[in-house]
Amino acid sequence: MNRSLTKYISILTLIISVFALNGCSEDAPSNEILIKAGTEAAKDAQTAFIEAEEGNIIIFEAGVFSFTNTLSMDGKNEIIIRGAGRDETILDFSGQTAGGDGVLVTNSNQVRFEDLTVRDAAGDALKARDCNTVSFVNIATIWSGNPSKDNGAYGLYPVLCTEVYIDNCYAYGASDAGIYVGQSDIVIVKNSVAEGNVAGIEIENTTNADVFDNEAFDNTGGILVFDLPGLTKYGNSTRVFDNNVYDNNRVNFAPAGNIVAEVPTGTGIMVLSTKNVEIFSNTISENDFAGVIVANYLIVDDTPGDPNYDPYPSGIYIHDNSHTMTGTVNKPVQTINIQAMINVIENNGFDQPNIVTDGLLMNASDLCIQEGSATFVNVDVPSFSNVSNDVTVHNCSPAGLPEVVFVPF
Amino acid sequence: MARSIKILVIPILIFTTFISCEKNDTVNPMVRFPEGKGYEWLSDYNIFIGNLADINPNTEAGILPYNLNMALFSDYASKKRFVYVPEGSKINFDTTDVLNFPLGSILIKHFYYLRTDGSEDNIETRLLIRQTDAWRAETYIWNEDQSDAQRTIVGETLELTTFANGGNRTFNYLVPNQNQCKNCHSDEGKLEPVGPQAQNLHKDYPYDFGTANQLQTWMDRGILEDASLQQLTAWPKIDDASTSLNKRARAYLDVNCASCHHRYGSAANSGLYLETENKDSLSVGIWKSPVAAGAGSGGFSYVIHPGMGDQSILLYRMISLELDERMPEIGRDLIHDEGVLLIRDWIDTM
Repeated sequence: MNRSLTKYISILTLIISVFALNGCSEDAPSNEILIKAGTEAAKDAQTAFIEAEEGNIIIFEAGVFSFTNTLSMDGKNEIIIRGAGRDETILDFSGQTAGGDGVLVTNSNQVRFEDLTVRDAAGDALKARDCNTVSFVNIATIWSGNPSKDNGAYGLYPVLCTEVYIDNCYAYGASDAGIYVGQSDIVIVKNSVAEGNVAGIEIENTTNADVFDNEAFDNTGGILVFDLPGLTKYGNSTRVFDNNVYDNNRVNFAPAGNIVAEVPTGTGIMVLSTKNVEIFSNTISENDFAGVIVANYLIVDDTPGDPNYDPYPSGIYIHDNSHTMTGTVNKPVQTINIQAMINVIENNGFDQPNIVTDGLLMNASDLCIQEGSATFVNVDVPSFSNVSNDVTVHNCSPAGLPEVVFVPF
Repeated sequence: MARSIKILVIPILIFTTFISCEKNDTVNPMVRFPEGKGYEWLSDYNIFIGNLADINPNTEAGILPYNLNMALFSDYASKKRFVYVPEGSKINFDTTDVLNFPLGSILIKHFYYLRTDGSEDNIETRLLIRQTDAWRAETYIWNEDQSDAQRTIVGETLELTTFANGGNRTFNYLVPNQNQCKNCHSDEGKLEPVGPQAQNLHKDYPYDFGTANQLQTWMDRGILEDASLQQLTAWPKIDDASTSLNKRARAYLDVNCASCHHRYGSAANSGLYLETENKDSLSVGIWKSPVAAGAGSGGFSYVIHPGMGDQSILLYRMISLELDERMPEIGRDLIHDEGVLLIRDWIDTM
């Protein structure tokens, strides 16, 4: 009797001490909120995203976290959302039944996502709207399997934000752009990899962006700098440099109607209508349509409908890139317009050029090229009557754009 | 030890229940207004009296029912709406935007479905509470036995079946989380009501005391600034054939889309602005190319392709059930047949 009681007590003590120990090991600093994998994880995570207070760190442990609804945060300051690593912490949305996005953060200041993957979102994977000083570090956005038009449009998707910092991220399988920065100001995209998307990295209607040290391959187009009509702001001042842009020959799989559906399969870097874009010191190889395209929005839509919109690109400066192009352009997969361009180039006895422009420029000096031996063709849209490979009219050297500087969160 | 406490508690409970019962029979309780976060239970507010599931407004305490000419579609849910404006406060009369309710106001929207026997299946009750200069959104999910509804911040997805337009439809009903409330109820990043604009409230309501114009009743009660209603054009009902197709379509788009699709809303980045006041054809969608539609383009080139409803992205997204295509993005898992007909007609006849 006595013995069994002692035994009972010692087991009890053991249980208590295990509990105590457990409690102790979980006794995170008071500003940390730990989300553990399991059936309650989605609810716990959404609760944390709603109740987090300034200075909190929401930590997802290693594991797969399944969500059926968008995971969203609104109106927060100074929040870090941290995983255990890109391959360790997976936020999985394959069972999603509600909400258009995977993860959504809005109207917030100083938010940082790091070390996790957002997988198989119904729509966009990780969207930040109306945020200031938002960082994505070591984040992956992926859609499983072969890239498909049924995948979500954007992977990493800051829009209407300022001070956007994207570092060491990975984007795969987006049916529009893997890394997309839209209608934002003061942006750095660096050290990141985009593959298997329609657009690898896209900067759209954005001001003051630096895109460097990235790798874009196996997309339809590697890096795009676009300006579209009818939005909240127009783009200006983007530098694209020191990137490795290669093998972007994936057949365009964007749903028709979207602007990226117009991007030629085999595009390295493309500028559409944006003002002041400096493209330099990139390694651009084996993009079979062109290494760099400079185009006017009027070639895809001759009635932009926005009286304040200027579709003519200007201040474009392409210099000191290295080009390699040995493949053959895949003509049958292009849209009719692009096929027409390829025919025009062929019929004039030119090879597919390293740099191509539609020629819809206000002045030749709106496009400056200092590119050594790179080949060039102006296809002279819409008449195609004065197709030229004479790059000397673009022999100008404007001042370079300033570096984008800010302190990321 | 534990047992003896229970024995003590039970008589106290019975006693207090008895007292509160007696109290209820004499005078209705005042509406309770939370200072911080919402109360745990819907019953805590005293918005309804009697059996809670019957949704009887506490009219003596100032809870007034209302409805709208043009309502937001929510998966064929039926809705009951109530307004509370504290005594001594007034809403300014304004026709350019949703009315600006004074501090202390509560807007109540109750969602339910009719069962085949005609009884009401209460699903959720949402409150917008005007605490300071900002609104607070609180959502209450009804429990199984329909005795009360409990506060939720993360919401829930419920599989429901309802009968609509000749067939049973099974769907995922979304009780929104707090952020999703704000997704629609957003103006420059702040939470705002969506429905109660003067033009939308300008109609008769069958009150207990007789049928009367809602705005006039609010004025008579002293909760709305006096104004002449002579010049005010009411928004049409969706099927009001006496009103032009254009007016009905624009009112429908205003109520169902413009909460996000306006210059300061959640969808400002789309450049598509659907409030009735917007007269700029491009940003209304006419010949407008999509921006971030993805698969939502449906392969079509324009948001509104005049004369071609079925080749317009706007209509495509109203019909689609895919999560990344359908609009509104949340709160619609079924197709609104009547809305689709209206918008198709409108675009086809452009």
